[in-house]
Amino acid sequence: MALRSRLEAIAETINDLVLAAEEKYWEGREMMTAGRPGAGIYLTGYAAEMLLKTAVFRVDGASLGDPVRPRLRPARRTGSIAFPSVRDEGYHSLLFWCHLLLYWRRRRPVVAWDPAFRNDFLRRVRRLYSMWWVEMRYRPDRTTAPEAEDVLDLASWLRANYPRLWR
Amino acid sequence: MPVKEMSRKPSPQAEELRELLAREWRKPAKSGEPVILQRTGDATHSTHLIVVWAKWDSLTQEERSEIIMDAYQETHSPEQVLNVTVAMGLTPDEAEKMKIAYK
Repeated sequence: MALRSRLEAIAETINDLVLAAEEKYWEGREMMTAGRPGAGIYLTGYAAEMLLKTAVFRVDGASLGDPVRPRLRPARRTGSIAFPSVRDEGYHSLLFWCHLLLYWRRRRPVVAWDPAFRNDFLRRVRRLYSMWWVEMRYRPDRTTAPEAEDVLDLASWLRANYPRLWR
Repeated sequence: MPVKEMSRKPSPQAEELRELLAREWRKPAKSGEPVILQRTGDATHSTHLIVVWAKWDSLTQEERSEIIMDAYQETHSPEQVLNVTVAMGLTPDEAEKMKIAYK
C-alpha cells in the first residue's frame, strides 16, 4: 500500500498531532544545526502550529484519542463569527489558533493566566506569525541564521509552556 | 455594477443534505435517519454534534462537517453556534465501528 493510503487509512487524532509536533520540532532543530535555516524554520513553524491547535482542542476537554477533523469546521465557524478579521489560512494560521485559544480560555473552566504570561504568549505568537506561514514554501529561501534562531526560541517557549496553554 | 463577496456555491447534493438536516432540527422525526446526537459538556458548555446518516457515504469528513455546521447555523442562534466544537458526520457503519450508540 502506498504511503498516502497507509497514513490516510486512519483518521488523525489529537495525540498524532502532539507527537508530530514533537517530531517536527526536533527535525527543524536538526536542520538549523545542519546549516539549513529555511528548512528548519519551516518544520519548526509546523510544530508551533500543532501545539497551538491541540491546545485549543484540549482546552475544550478533548481526549488525546479524539479525531481532529470534526473539530476543524466548528473552529473556523467560531473564528468567522468571533474574530472575522483573522483568517485561518487553511487552518494553518498561528494567529487564528492563538485567537481561538484566547477566546475559548475565557469561556472554559481553566486556570486563568496572569496578564504577564498572556502578554508574553501574544507577543511571541505574533512574532512567530511574522516569520512563519504555511505558504512560505513557495518563496525563495532568504532566511538568515539569526531569524532561524529566533523562530527556534519562540517555538521552544511554546513547547516548554504547552501544558499551561490548555490547563 | 454591484460589488459582491465571492463565494463558492455548495453542490446540489450538499444543498439537499443541508436542507434535510435543517428540517430535522426544526421538526425531529420519530424514527429513521438522520439521527442527531447532541451533547453539551457540563463544565465546558461546548456542544458536540454527531449526525449518523447513510447519505454521508460519498462525502468527506470535512464536507459532512460543513453541512452540519450550515444546517445548525440556519436553525440555531449565533451564541449556540459559537458553542459547537465538534461536528461529525458518520454513516451507520462508521458509527458502529466507533461503538456509538445511536439506535
